[in-house]
Amino acid sequence: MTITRSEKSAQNGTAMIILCLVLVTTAIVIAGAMRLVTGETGLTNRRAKVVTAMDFAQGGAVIGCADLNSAVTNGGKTISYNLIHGTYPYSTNSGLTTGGITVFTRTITAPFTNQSVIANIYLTNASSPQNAKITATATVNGVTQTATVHVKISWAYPAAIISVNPGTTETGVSKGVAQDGNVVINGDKTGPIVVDGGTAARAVLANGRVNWNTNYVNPPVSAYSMSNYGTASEIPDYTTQGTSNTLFDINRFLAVADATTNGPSPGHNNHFTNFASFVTAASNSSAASPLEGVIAVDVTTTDANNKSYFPFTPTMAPHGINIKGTLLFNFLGSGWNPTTEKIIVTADFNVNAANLTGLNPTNPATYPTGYPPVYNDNRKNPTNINISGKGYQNFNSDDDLPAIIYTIGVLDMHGDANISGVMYTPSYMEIENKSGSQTQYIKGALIMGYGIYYENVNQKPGSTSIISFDQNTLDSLSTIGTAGKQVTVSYWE
Amino acid sequence: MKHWKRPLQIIVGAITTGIVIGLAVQTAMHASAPPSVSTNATPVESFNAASSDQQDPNVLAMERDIQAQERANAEKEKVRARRAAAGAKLVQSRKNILFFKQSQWSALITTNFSIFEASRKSAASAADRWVRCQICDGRGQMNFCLACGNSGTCSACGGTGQMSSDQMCPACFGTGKCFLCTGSGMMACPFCDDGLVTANQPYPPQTLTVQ
Repeated sequence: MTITRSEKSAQNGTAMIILCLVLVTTAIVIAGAMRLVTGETGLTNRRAKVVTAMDFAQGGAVIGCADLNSAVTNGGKTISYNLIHGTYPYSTNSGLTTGGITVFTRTITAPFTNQSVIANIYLTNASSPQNAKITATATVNGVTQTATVHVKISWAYPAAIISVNPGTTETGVSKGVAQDGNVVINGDKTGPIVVDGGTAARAVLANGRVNWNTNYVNPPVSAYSMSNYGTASEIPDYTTQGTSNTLFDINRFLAVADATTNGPSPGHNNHFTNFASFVTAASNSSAASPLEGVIAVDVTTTDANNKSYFPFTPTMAPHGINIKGTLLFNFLGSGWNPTTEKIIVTADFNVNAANLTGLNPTNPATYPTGYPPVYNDNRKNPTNINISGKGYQNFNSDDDLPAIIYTIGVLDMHGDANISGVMYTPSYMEIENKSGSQTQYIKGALIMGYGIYYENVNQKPGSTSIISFDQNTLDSLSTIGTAGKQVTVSYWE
Repeated sequence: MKHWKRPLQIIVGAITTGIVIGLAVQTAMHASAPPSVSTNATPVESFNAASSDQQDPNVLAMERDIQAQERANAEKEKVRARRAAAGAKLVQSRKNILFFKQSQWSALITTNFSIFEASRKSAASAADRWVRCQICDGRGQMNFCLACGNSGTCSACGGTGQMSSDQMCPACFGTGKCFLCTGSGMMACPFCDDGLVTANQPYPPQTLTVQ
C-alpha cells in the first residue's frame, strides 16, 4: 500500500511540473503576442503624430510666408515695421537675433484648432533685403516638427512693359488709343519691332488694353497680360506720386544730383536748373566721356516750346546724349500734362549703353546689356553720395537705380536709343523709330502711368526697335520701402 | 474524473494568467507613451470650427481679413461690369459727339490744306526731310479742341465721368476728360506728327473719325 501511494505521489508531482511548464509557456506566448500587437500600435501612433506635427509646421510656414508678403507689399513702411504692426503682429526674437539677421516671431493659432505653431522670420538687416528664411515649429502630443522655407523678395510684376493705367477697351493701334492709357505696339513688316519678356517674364503686363499688330520674336499670346484692372491680377498704381505704392521718391534722386560734386552743371553738381546748360553739357558728352551719376534736368514748358531746344536734334548733340547712371527729366512749372505736352529728342539717346555689336533683332539671346554702369569717376556713383543730411536714405551698392525717370510731361524719343535699365514715369511714354537705319534698343523694363505708344512703321530696312526685359535691372530696384516687391518661395528644406 | 479536472483547471489558470500579464504589459506601454493624437482635422476644417471661437484674436483678425477681401472682390466685380458696359458703347458715344463737329473739321482741313501741301514740299527738299508744322507752330497740337470747345472736359458727362450713379461714361471711360484732347483743351494737329511735317506726311482725314 505504501508503495502504491508513493507511486501515485510521484505521478502527481510529474503532472504538476508539466502543467506548471505549460502554464508558464502559455502565459509567455500570450503576453508576447499582445506585446507585439501593442508595439505596432504605438509605432503607428507615433508616426501619425510626426505627420500631423509636420502638417501643422508646414501650414505655419506658409502662413509665415503670407505674413512676410503682407509686410513686403504693404508699401510705405519698412518690412520690420509692418511685421511688428501688422494684422498678425510679430515681435523681435532677441534670443535668435544676431548682428546681421533679425528674427521675428509670432505664435500662430488660427486657423488651427487646439494647436499652435511658432513661426520665425529670419530677415537680413538690409534696406532692401532680397532673401529671407521662415521656420515654423509645431508640437503634437510631445512630438515636435519644424518646417523651413527659403524665400526671395523680388520684383512683383516681371514684364518688359508694365502699364498701370486702367485704360479702355479700344482695340486699335493708333496714338490716341495709347493716350487713353493703353499699350500700343504699332509695327511694320520691314523694320523689326520687338517686345521681349524672355522666359522669366511677360512681354507686357497692363491694367488696360495691349494692342499690337506685330512682334518679331513671336511670343505666345500668354506673353501679353491685359485688362487686369478690377481683377485679382490688377497691378498696383506704382506711378501716382505720394501714395503708398509710389515706386520712387523723385526728390531723393534730385538730392543726389544736388549733392554730387565736380559735376558739369553751372552749379558744379549734376543738377541742370536751366535747359541751355544741359544742351551744352550733352553736346560735349560722348561714349568715352559720358555724363555720370544721377543727372537731373529741369525743363519748363517755355523750354519745351523753344525752337532752339526742341526737337533736340543730332546737330545739337553730334555724339548723342551720353549718360552713365540715371537721367531725370524734372518737368517744372505749369502747362505740363501726362499725355500731350512733350519734348522730342531725335538725337542719339545713350544711357548705360550696351555694346550692340552682334545684335540680331529676332534672336533675344543676342540682346546685350550695359547695366550696371561702370563709372569712370566713382565720386559720381550715387552710392558714394551722402544725402542723409538732406533727410534721405543713402543709396547702397545693392540698389538698382533706374536709367531714365521723368515727371508729369512726356519724353518722345524719335532717334537712336541705347538704354539699359528701368524707364519710369507717372506719365505716358512715346517711343517712335522715325528714320531708316536707326536702332532703338532698351534692355530693362518700362513702367508708366498713362500708357505707351511704341512705333516702328518705318518702311526703310534697318530701323530696329527692341524692348527686352532684364531681371537684373529691377530685382533690387531702389523703390520707396519695398514698393513693387513680393515674396516668392525659393525652396523648402 | 478527478485526474482530469485538476490539469484542466491549471490550463485555464495559465491562459488567464497569460492574458492578465499581457494586459499588464499593454497598460504599462500606454502609460509610458504619450496619449494618442487628439486632432486629425485639416486646417480648413479646423478653421471652420475655430470660427466660432470668438476669443482668439488670431481668429478674429483672420475673419476680418476674409470679410475685407470679400468686400474688395465684390467691388472689383462691380467695376468690371461697369467697364464692360461702358466699353460696349465707347465707339458709338464718341461718334455721336464727333458727328456734330464734321463741318468745323471740314473747314479746318480746307482752310489749312494749301499750307500743309507747301510744308510737305519744303520737307522734301530739307536736309532732315522734315520741317516744322506751320499750322500748329511745331507744337503738335492745335490751340483748341473741336470735341470739347477747349474746356478739356468730356462733353457727354460734363466731366463727372458718370452717366448715372452706377453707369460709367462711355465716351471718356470714367475719366471726365475729353477723349480727343485727353483733357488739355488742345487737340492733336491733324496735319503733322508731333509738330513735324515730313515729305511723305499722310494727308489728314476728310472726316473726323474715332481712332
